[in-house]
Amino acid sequence: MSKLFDEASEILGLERDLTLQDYKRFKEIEKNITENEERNFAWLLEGLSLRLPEIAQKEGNYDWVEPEN
Amino acid sequence: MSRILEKLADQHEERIINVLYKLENDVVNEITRATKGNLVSQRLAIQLQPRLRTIIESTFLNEADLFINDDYNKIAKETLDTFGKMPIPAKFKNLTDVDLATINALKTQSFSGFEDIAERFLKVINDEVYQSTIAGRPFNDMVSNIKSHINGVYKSSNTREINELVDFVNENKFDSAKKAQVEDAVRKLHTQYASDRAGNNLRRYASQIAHDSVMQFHGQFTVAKAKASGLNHFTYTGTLVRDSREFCVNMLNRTLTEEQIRDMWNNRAWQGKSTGDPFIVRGGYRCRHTWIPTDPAWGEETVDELPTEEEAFDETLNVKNPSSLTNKIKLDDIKPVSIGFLTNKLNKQFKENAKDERYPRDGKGKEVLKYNESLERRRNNEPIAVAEFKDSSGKKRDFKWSEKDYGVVEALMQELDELAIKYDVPKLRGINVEKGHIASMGDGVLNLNVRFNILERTGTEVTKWKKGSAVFDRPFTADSFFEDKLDKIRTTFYHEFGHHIHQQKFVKDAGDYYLPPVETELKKLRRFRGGSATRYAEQNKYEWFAENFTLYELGKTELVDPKFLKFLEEKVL
Repeated sequence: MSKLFDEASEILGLERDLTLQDYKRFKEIEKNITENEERNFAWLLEGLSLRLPEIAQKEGNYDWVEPEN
Repeated sequence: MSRILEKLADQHEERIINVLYKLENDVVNEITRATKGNLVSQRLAIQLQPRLRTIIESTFLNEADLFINDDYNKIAKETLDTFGKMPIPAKFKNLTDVDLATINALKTQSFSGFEDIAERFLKVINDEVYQSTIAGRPFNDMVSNIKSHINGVYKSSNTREINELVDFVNENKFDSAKKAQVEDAVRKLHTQYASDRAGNNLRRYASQIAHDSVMQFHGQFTVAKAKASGLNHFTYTGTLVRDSREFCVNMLNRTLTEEQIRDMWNNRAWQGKSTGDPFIVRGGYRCRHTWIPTDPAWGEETVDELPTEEEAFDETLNVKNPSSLTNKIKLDDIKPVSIGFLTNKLNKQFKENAKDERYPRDGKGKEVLKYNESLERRRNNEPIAVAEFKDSSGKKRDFKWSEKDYGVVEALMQELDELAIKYDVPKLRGINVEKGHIASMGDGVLNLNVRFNILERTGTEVTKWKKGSAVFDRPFTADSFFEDKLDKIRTTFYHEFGHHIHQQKFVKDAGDYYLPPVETELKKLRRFRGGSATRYAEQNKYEWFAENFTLYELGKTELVDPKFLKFLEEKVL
């Protein structure tokens, strides 16, 4: 796995509630993921989707969610 | 059907089944005592007849008499409670002398149903004994036939395997979580061990009448009260089960006038329809639905159009790709289905599933939602409880659902419905499209990405990794433990359903919905990493739960983290 993939994986593995900064970094990484990591990264995105309520609770809304490709 | 009615119907059926074993035993003992195990003479056959009548009266009919006298008052109370909540004059809410007379007449009528079948099977047993004397039938053959006349393939046997299957069916017949296993056991009894199957038997009719009598008594008393109260609109109520009739599925929650109901009854036929009054026999034998009186003037119901013949026999209600937890469909058996068939079918199911009280609603009756996908649909004025499958355009190519993929979804959704029953969580209320993730789960909605969940685009990795192999060689996700393309897609569906369980189990209100009890327990869990068979399970506790749940439910128990089993047993089941 690439370093970028591992970094996204670490964000998803955080025990504390995720923050908007975590989300933004994750989405930044997504843009640079190579095709051979696409499937596994789609799983990380699955995990991220389940944790978006943690961020929404702090932000008060989901307005910060970026449109999906 | 209210929970009280449902419980009573099941209890009576169970009591009748139990008493039939006593009847079987007493009849065989009496015949054995009288004949000393020898061939029956004609004189003895005739002498036995009054004794057999006494046994039937003291067992089967006595039990029917007991529960009719004890429990049918509870059914009448249930009806009166329903009327008590209606905005009707108080005089119609109370138990009147006329009601009492009606109740007693209906009790007598119900008991006569049991008497009829008792009489009929007494004759069958007497004939069996008498014909044995004429034909010189060996004693053991005669006894076996009598047992079959009473309990069919569920008769007591000298074969351990048969008795184990019969015990399993009898013990779990009313446990909805074990429905699939019970069906399998029944199938096995009928096919593998029923070489001496004796066709119709007392158990079949008696258990049916025990169930239907509860419903029919309720139906008759309710209609009598409705007429006395001047109510002539009725709503078809109850819950759907997997084998609900097409009639019941189409009529559920519709409000019709008495005239519409009778007109439909006189002019239509459907599979399983039984003869009689539409308010009494409803959908047919063993129907679990009731017509509850209402009045559109109360503002709660509007009068619906009668469903058309086409609606009443909607082919989407058929199952083209049957699958269950114990008998999972294979890829070669998947039949293509159209998008129209699948979405019509799922939309009907989701509409019902969305009514589950475990999906909380706010003060205005709107669904409480937590996840972005559902909230976004609400912002766009799109329904939540809906099935949508959209193709996707990729940078290099397009991704499209095929009719075989729709067949896969039809099959797998049945398995997920069974998982919902098994784990006591609400059934899913939507399927939607997902663009970025493999899939996702939230608010009871399964989001699927066409790019990864079609047969043409499943993962290809297959691993032989086992516990004890190098940890860094573990596959990323559970699908790698399966070669078959359908199994690979199945792992994604089960993984997402695992999330549904930690999101929904034990949720009773909006507070729980935002802080699910199982997720609270997951947060307390220490050191979940290291024991799982996939790397994705190491990501966090939700994925640990979903990945291990997938392997557990798909039979790869040797790969499941023992900590997960402990957690499942202590915190989920």
